[in-house]
Amino acid sequence: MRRLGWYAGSAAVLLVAVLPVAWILSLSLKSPATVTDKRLWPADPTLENYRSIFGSALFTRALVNSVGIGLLSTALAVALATPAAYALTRLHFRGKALILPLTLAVAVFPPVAIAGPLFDLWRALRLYDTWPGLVIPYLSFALPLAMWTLTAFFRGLPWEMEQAAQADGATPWQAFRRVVVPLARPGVLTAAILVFFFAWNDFVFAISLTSSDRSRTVPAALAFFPGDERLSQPVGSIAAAAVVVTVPVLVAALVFQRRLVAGLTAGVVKV
Amino acid sequence: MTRIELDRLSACGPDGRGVVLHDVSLDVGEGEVVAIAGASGSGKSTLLRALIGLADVPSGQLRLDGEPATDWAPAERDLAMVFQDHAPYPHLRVRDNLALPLRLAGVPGGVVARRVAAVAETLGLSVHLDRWPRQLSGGQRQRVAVGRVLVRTAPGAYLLDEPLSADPAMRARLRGLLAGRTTLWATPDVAEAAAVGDRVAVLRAGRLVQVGTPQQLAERPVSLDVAAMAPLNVLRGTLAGGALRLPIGTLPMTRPVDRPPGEVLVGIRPGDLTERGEGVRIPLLVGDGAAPDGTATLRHPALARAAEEDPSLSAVLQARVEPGGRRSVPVLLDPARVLLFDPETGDAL
Repeated sequence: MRRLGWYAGSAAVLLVAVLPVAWILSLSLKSPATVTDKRLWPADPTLENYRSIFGSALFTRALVNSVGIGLLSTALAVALATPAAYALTRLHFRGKALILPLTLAVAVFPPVAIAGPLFDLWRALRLYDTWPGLVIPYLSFALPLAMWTLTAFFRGLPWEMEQAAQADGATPWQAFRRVVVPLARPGVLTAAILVFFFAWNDFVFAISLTSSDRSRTVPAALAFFPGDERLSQPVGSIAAAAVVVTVPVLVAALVFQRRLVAGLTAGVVKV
Repeated sequence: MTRIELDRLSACGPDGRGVVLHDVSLDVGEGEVVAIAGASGSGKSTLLRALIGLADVPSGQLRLDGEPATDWAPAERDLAMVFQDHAPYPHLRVRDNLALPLRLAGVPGGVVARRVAAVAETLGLSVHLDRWPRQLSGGQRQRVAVGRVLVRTAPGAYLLDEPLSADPAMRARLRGLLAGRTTLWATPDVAEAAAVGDRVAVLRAGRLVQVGTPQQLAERPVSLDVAAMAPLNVLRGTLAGGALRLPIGTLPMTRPVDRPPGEVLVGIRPGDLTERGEGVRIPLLVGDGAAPDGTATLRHPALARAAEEDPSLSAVLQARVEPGGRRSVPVLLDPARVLLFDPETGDAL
């Protein structure tokens, strides 16, 4: 009985989580004629929507922007957060206890609240509608996120291994490269994936701080898809684009699932 | 092999716990195995960490083969160390754990493989070479840690912090392997220290209180726990009026003891209870028999009445003693040979 309830609950959660994704996938495979038929299974599956979005500069440029801005934000956030987390874990200095709460305070600022001021500021600084114009606000959230993840992970690392390596004849640099880096890698990877997801998925900054192909990312570009006819929504194209931007995230999440979970629970159990 | 000299060396504990090792002077000769005995917290680990170069040394000097080495980086000292509770590197298989010290030293791959195989064989790790550390038992992990040290090609000295604590048989084998190699071997167990050390250095509260061969330490121990390295009969006695009163008889004091009359702990070595020689005659009853080395278990009616923890005494007898006999043996005890200890602190008097 208890088991049955468990299965029913799982099925309900699965339905809620998967149905919208399946629906979008279905929409993306429908032709304009059948897109409003309200059936889950496309009667006449076609790749026409995909062909059309990859044929339009609006989407391909947005994809390039999304990938570029996402990777740039990730690289910068991880490159800055790793030494910061290392220092927070390993060094003793005044005010150390305040740093993490402060970074969290920065991270919880709602994007909507700063999008308006940033719009004015970016126009004055000529950062409006540029890659840095998005990378910088992303860092304001991604950096705290990466620092939190990495600090938790570094705290759980067996640091005495660094000394063991020195006793084994390693120079400090060798100890870092051959022992510390491999041990820290899963945590850095976790932080990188989380940051990339955040940048990839953002809509609020993307829609308010861009105005053209130069820097518009996919979530923002979806709003500018032209319909086949006036006043009609380009449902099929939007669905296809949504699938295209979801797939990499999904694949990454599945591939790195074990690492992600291990990284997120680091600090709970010693490695 | 390297000669290690410590000259009034002080050292700080891990995590800035201040100076925990004070003014230690010790000379470890080439090829000598010195056991560092001391309770937990006495500074054994800090001493070894100072030697390898991982502890802050506020004063004093370390010399390796006569050269001042206090400021050398760990890698420059060419010493091999097993840490007390350090597991193997978690991200490397057993094989790569063992190979790392050689790879760090730039040893060619073929030699690395051969040495790793040989050390794994010695330590019974051959079948575990491709496993991850997390798949090993605690004892096996300790063996991997020791293997990382043994694999190295002729380090200057070996520093072992309670090696193989879970594995006495493997420990004995390790001692055999280290014969003739400069070694410092830390252990909280004085009997183990006496068994492994050519000499034993006793640490207490961060200070070196005694250094000597196990025999020297047994002869003139600074405290009851050091004396207990060798077999020892321990009785309670009372000092009064120039005499030592024991349940088994009264001994005249042959040397002045700077202490008011009162209770003391008395240590009597089995070898000092014999049939021949000089001393006070004490009638003892033969107990359950003699060990092959001539040590006999003897009884005295007063000991049973005094309700000591152990009502028997060990003695070394020349005559063959028949087990189970109730024969009375007149044993001689030289009053100058008994050891006196403070019952509170265990310090020798």
